[in-house]
Amino acid sequence: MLHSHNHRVPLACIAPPDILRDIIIGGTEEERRAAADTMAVDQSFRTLRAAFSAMTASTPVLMRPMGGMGGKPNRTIYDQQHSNAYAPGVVARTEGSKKVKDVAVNEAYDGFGATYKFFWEVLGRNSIDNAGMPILGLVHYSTNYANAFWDGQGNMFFGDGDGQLFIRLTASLDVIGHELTHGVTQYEANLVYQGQSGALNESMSDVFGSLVKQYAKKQTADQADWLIGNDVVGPTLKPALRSMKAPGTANPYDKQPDNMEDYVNTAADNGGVHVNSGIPNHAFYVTATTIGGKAWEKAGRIWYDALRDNRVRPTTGFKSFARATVRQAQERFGDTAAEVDAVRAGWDKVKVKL
Amino acid sequence: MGTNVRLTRSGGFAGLSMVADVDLDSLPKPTAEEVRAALAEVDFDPPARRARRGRSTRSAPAPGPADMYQYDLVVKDGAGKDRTLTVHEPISDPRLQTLFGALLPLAQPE
Repeated sequence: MLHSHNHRVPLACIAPPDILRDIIIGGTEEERRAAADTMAVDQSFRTLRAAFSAMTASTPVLMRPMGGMGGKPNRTIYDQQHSNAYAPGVVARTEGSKKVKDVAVNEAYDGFGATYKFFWEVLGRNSIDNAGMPILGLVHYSTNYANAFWDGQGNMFFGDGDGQLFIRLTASLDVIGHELTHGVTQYEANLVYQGQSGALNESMSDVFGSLVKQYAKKQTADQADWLIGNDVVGPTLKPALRSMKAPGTANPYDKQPDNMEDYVNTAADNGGVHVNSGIPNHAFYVTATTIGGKAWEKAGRIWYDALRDNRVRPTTGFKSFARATVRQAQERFGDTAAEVDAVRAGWDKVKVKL
Repeated sequence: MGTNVRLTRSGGFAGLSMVADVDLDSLPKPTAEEVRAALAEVDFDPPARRARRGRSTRSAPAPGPADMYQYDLVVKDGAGKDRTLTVHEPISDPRLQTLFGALLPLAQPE
């Protein structure tokens, strides 16, 4: 499919088992063999990951097998020059190099810097894979392209916008944080991009995208706007793309539910992953504002620990994830801590029964 | 009775659905011809869909990528036989690129 940069076989850890099983049952001889191989690699990769996280939990930073020293991003920004190609275009700025004239290039560079800094300083995470993975941004993708996406292979693409739905997407720190978090999620729970696990994947990106912005602005949960994309929406989507505080109210087309009774069943958008993400988004908002203070310090840490919880699997839904957040809050703060009550209150508010 | 084509582009970072729902007879002739020609070439039963048959009617998402678009195409030819197709980006089939390129300028947010 797209091209690959690093040490990993991309399909090995991103293909959902049910799809692979479908191919094994219904595919051609060749497809069956490839899918069976992929499943075998996937199983061993997950075993390795579990072993690796058990090891790093008790290993000093300096001894991390692949992590190096950490603390410094390795960014490269490419100019796609309006091409539709998925291969990186012309190198526009590399790590440590000076500002250039192109504002989108600088915004991507700085936005990735702020996102890396957030994950490192707040959560001790060294880049997308927690092992110093290069951060690659591809700007000026396509023509009037009103979207940004993570390609599953280490590349983040940003369009210049169409002026109607969006202006250039690099102008928003929460958008940049959102896209990079898709990479983090892929390297952790690897939530399948369909239905509830897909909506959780989307919600992770909104949660940490918003926290990147709050951290950069040094805002408390009460001071934050809890909006996504408000810096880059055009006239159609004004005043914001999504609201974690009040899902469904961000713009005239916002159909996000804020509780399970209004869960949207649809075949579009991989089962409404950008719509139903409103439910876990709001649970996080309620948890963070109930705890109070800076949302990244406690609520963000609990959500991150849950994303790394080995019991959270690629097909995990809202309820299992909610239970993981309670479990992680109990482990970190104690069984009867106020933080645990706040997590329960968050899921209770959106009618996800624990 | 003429052909009706409905294209829904969903997903993307915005999660906003854009819908083009057109009767080919009502389109300007060059656009109608372009769409007709592209439709005649489209494979409505691609290998990935054949592989899934009998297991699930749900379309499989592309693994890994996030915030890329999903396209749902429904073609009604008036003879009672609808043809449907769901695909996800990246779209490598040039016939689909041509078809979507012709229809998307007619799409409205839903």
